[in-house]
Amino acid sequence: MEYDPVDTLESIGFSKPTGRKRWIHCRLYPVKDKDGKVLNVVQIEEDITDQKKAEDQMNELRAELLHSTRAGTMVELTAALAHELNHPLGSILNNANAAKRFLEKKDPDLNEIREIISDIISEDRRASDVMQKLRALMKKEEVNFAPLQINDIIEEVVKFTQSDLIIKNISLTKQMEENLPKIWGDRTHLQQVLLNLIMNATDAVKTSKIKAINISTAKDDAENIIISVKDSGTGIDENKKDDLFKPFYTTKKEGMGMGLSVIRTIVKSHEGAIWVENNPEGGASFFVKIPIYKEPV
Amino acid sequence: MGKNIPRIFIVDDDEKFSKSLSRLVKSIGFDVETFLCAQEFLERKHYKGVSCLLLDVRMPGLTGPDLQEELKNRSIDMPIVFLTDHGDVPTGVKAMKDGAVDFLPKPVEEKKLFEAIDHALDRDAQLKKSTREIEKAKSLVASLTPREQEVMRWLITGMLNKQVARYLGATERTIKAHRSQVMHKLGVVSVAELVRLAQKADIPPAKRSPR
Repeated sequence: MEYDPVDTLESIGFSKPTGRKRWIHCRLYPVKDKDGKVLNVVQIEEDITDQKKAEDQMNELRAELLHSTRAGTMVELTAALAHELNHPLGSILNNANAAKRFLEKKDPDLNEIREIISDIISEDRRASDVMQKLRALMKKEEVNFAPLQINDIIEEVVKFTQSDLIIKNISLTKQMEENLPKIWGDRTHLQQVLLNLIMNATDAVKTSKIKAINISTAKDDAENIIISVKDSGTGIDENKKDDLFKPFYTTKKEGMGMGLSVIRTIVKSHEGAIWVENNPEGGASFFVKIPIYKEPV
Repeated sequence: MGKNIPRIFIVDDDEKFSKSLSRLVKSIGFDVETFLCAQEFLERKHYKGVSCLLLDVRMPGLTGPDLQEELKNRSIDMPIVFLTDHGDVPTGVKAMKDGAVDFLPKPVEEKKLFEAIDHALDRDAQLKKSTREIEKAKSLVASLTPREQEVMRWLITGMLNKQVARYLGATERTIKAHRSQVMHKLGVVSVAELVRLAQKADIPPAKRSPR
C-alpha cells in the first residue's frame, strides 16, 4: 500500500473544548489497494498555532522595529531639517518681501525683480527636493524578513556594480568565508546597504592612485556575521566618524547626506550595528554586523 | 553709496539665503555687504561708519560665536544680530551675555529683523558718538600746556584758586590766569562742565598730599 499525501493544507479550525481559533496543518493520505484504487483516506491534523503565532509576531516586530528606528531617526532629522528647510523658506520670504518693496518704488528695476523671482523658483525647488527625499525615508515599507545567505546578496550587488567599477578602473576583490550561517534579513534592504557602501567606496577611491575595494564576510565569536567594505581612499577624519551617520551629513557637493543614515536605520532594524574604521595602510573600512538567524525551537 | 547711510554686514555661508537677506535689507534703504564666511569678513578693512552685523550661528570654519569673540579680541565693537536656524538656547544665552543685540530664528520675521537692525544701529550710533566725544575731549586736553593740565587736575577737585595756589606754590593771580586759559581752551564755562570733560578724557583729579 502507498502512503503519499495527496494534499496538505493549512487552515484555521476551531478547537473543540475551548472554541478558540487554531491553526491546523492538515495532510491527507490515500489508502489504495493493489490496483491503485482508493479505499480510504487518512487525515492527519497537526496543531501549528503556536508556530504560526511566533512567526507572525516576529514579522510584526521587525516591521515595527524598522518603522520605529526610522521614527527615531526622525528626531535627529528634525534638527537637520530645520537647517535644510529654513534656508530655502527664509530665502523665499526675504526675496518676496524685498520684491514687494522694490515694486512700490517709483522706477522699479525690473531686471532685479526678474532675478528675484527666478531665485524664488529655484529656492522653492530646493525645499521640495528636501521634502521628497524625506518622504522616501518616511514611507512605511513592506518588509520581508527571511533567512538569507549574505554572500549571495553580496554577489548579486557586485554583479550589478561591476560595469561601473570597470569603467572607473577600480579593482574589487572579495574575501568571503564559505558556508556561513544564514542571517535573518530583508533582501531588498540589505542589497541597498551593500550597494550604498560600495558606491561610497567608489567615490572614496576616485582620486586615489590605487583604486581598490575589498569586500569580506566572516563569522565572529559572538554569533554575528561581519561584513566589511574596505577602500583605498583617503580615510575618514577621526573626529567625524560619528557625524558620518547623521542625516544630511555630506562631504559631496551633489549629495544629500542621507545614504549612511538610511543604511544605519536598516542595519538597526536587523538588530545589527554599523561603524567605520581607518585602515592602518590608508583608506577606510565600513563594518556591518548582523546576528545569525536562529531557528525557532 | 551715500555717506550717512548705515551699512549692514551679513555673514552667512548659505549664498542664496545671504543674497535674499541682502536684498531685503537693501529694500529698506541700507547699504549692504555680504560675506560667505567669518574669515572673509575679518580680512575686510574695519568700517568706520555706523553699522551692524547680521551673523549666522552655524558655519563651517569660524562659527558666528567664534567671530563674535574674535571681534572682541580685536576691540572691534560692532553690534551683532545673530540669525539661527535651530533654537539653540545655550548658544543664544551666551551670545546675548557676550553683548549680542538679538538672537533671531530663521526664517526671520521681517518686522523683528528690522527692529533688531534699528536697535543695533542705535546702539552703534550711540557708541560712535561717545567715542567721538572722548576723542574730542582728549584732543582738547592735549592742547593745554603741562602747567595748565596740572592746574586743571587741581581745579576738578573743587578747590578755590586760593587753595590751588597754595598747593602749587604760586600766586592766586597766576592760578586765576591759568584757570581762565584752561576754561577758554576747553570751551567750558563751569567747573561742573570741566569735571565731565575730564572724565571723558580720563584725567584723574590731583591728589592732595598730607601737609
